[in-house]
Amino acid sequence: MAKDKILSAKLKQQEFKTKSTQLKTQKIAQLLEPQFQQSVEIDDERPLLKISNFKDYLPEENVQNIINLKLKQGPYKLSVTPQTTYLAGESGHIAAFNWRHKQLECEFDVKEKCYDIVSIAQRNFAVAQKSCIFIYDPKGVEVHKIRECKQATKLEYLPYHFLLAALNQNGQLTYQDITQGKIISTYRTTPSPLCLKQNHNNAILGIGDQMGVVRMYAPNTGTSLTSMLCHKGGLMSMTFSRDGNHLITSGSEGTIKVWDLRTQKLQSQIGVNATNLALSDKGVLAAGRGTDIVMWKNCLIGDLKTPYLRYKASSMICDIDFIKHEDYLSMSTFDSYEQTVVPESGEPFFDTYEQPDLQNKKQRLETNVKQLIEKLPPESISLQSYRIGTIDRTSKIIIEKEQKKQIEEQANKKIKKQKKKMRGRNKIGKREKLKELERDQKQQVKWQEMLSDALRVKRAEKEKKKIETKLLDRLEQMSSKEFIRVVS
Amino acid sequence: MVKFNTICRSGQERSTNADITKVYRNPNPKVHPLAHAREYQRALVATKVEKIYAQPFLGALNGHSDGVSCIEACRFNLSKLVSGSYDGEIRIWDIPSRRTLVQLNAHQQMVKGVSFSRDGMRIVSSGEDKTINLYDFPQLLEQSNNTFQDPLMRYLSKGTLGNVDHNYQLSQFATAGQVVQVWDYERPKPIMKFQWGVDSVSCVRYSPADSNLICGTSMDRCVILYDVRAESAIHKVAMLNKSQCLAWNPIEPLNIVIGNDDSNCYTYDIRKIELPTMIHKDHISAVMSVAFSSSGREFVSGSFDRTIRIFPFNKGFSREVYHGQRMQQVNSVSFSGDAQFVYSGSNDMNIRIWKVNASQKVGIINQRETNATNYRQALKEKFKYNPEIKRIAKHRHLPKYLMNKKKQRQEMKESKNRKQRNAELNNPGQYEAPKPEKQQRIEQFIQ
Repeated sequence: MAKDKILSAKLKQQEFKTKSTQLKTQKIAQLLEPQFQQSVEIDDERPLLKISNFKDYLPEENVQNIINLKLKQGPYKLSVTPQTTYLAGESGHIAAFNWRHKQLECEFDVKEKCYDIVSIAQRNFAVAQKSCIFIYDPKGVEVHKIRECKQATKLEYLPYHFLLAALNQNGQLTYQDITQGKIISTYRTTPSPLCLKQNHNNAILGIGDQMGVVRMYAPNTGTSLTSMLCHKGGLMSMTFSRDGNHLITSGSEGTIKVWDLRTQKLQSQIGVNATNLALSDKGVLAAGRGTDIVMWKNCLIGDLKTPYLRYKASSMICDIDFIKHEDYLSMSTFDSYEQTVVPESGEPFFDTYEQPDLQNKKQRLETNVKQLIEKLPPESISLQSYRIGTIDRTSKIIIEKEQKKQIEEQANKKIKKQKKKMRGRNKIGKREKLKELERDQKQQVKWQEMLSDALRVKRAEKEKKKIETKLLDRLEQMSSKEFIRVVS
Repeated sequence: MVKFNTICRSGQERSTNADITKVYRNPNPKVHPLAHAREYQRALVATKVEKIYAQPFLGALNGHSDGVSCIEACRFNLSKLVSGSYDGEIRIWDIPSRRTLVQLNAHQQMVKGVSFSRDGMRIVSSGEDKTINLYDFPQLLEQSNNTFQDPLMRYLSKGTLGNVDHNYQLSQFATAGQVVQVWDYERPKPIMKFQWGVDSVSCVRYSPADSNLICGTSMDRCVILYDVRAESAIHKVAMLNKSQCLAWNPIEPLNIVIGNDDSNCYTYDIRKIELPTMIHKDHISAVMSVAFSSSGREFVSGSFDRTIRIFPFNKGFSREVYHGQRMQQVNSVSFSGDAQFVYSGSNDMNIRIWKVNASQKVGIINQRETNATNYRQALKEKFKYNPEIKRIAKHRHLPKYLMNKKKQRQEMKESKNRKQRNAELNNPGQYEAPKPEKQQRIEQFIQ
């Protein structure tokens, strides 16, 4: 009893400490909030709908970041970070430039079809090309050629696990560890995948297919963890919210639906057709179709009735994405790259240790090393990421069973070698005889199994025959008239 | 009037290189994805790194030509250590430079005990040749070349002598032996003698709080508490095996730790000496010497099985075990004054210096490093019950003979428990539960 008192007192103290430090840090964070935001006032009473309405009132820095770049070669795929944009054109034009400082980092032509581009650790980027996946330096130098995943059309990068996930047109999903180059797992998902997106909170991948079903995958299991039937038509695109609690999907039958992932139930929906979806830090949803983009504010909390902003691009939109911790929406179209201002869409207060893109050079070098040291094992990916480090509440019986299984497996793995006896007579002939005996025993076991299988098959056949003979007997017993009646 | 905010990060870069780089933090968990998994990974890495950097052995002081029987670190000066050996030689060492400062041929036979006085001015040593030498420390250092220096005073004892311990306050010291004797600097004969029974006392220690209390361990397997003012013993408790050594807890001076021949250390409260408050079990062989750190939270024990172990004062199992390939039976251990180092004197004529925290960096550590180590320590504390991390943190490499002995002991313990359980199950009415272990170790308590 005394032990419990001491333990309970210690736990109480610990809880009190953690709570008080949490409050303190929040207070300090509030006091030290840096002035990242500028407030803008407009005399107009109308709601903001077009950027031309409020462009004149914006601070200069935001106006400078409104970009419209004309490009030539084919529809472009996009990947944006808070510093750089990576563009991959379908005919092989690949470019990376720093949109903040308006500097070109690299630009080259690959001369084959590019399906997807994604930015990887330490400012490298991976391009899914027709032949295989290539990884490039920030300067554009080809660093790796990944042959294992064939004809990947979609890429996703899990930053904390250093895993590159590649999805095939046939539905083959491969996870590859970038630090070691090892393939963690590869398996078939759905025969007709349409979109691949990552839940940043969980490191779980969601794949949507032509049946309108969204399935969640992790590297451990070869099958989906959960699946949700979202739409009547095919799933055109989807995004997860930043805290991993919501999923927004758009279907080809013309609806956008907001799902609550914890209960897997529909929260709200709107009848708008959208081929591309993007969700910002603060919950601004952008839906693109053709050349138009419509944006809703507070889509996770409220309903999607009144749009917040509208934007018209210069040509057909291929890919849209919000930039993290910024108020910009970037999009790549058939022949241009564009960026607009979407006020109050980004989270202004970032954490320096979480965003290597917003650090200076020395800080970045430190984080490169630290990230590698803290690389998470792929086995830890699960739907409930908060359970790691907590008490395992499964019953004792199940835990004991698992432990027994593990011990058995290990024992089976160990191959027992015949010991070479040195003392006494150790003739070669005897050793060989013992070896033969072992082999014979193994074969006997095999044959017995085969026999028992054969016996089973025979027995099944016999029973079938019995039933058949019984029928025949009955038919014989029946008189011919009854027989004719039965037949007709 | 429509009002909205936009993000502008233009003024955030520093103006000159001399400016500090600002670091922005957001404690909102939305900005920290996968926080639990990453924290767990950091804790795992921290325990592994601790194991990689665990290099506790710092160095050895060699020079003695026979086994080291007793050592004591100076309480006044962190860099001085005095040691006595089997051939009657006493050496005073300077630890940072690993050199002998003074070498003395103090006794004809084995040196049984050495002790510094509280202010570090005097050294007392007792030998098997029934003499006690009192040296003046500064004088010794002056004439360090002379190995035949005369002691300030030499006392002759009638009976054989055990170890010696200097009084914390007065110019007195107490010796163990056939009879426990208390000596004064000025008197050639002991001012007080304690005797209870016919057996000799092997180890004697003054209490750090009250210099009128002396505790001793005797050859008839007893632990005895003496009172100087009343000139008699207060009470004693007899155990199953005899004890070799004793140490008082400097921060909680009501508790003593004794090292027993049955390879356990026992913590007693002197007010209630009938039952031990804690049994510290981890050694394989007899415990030869115990010493407390000045923080009172840990004590070190050196034993006959060639290892030294560091125990927390309130836990039953050791936190750390140190062993060396060449280290033989450890005769005496001592903590340094700042509780950062442990000294062990052993039969192989060497005194070894060990770190108390095996993975701690020795030297000046700057503020950022201490913050990082504190964070890592907190992480390890948080996840210490997790099986993966617990297995790594608990793992210590032990030499083969120790591992085998340990396994044997565990088997014996398990079989004993199994037999008890079976007896209990199969003889429902007749089975008598055995006494709790703490009671088992005590034979009787005498006033």
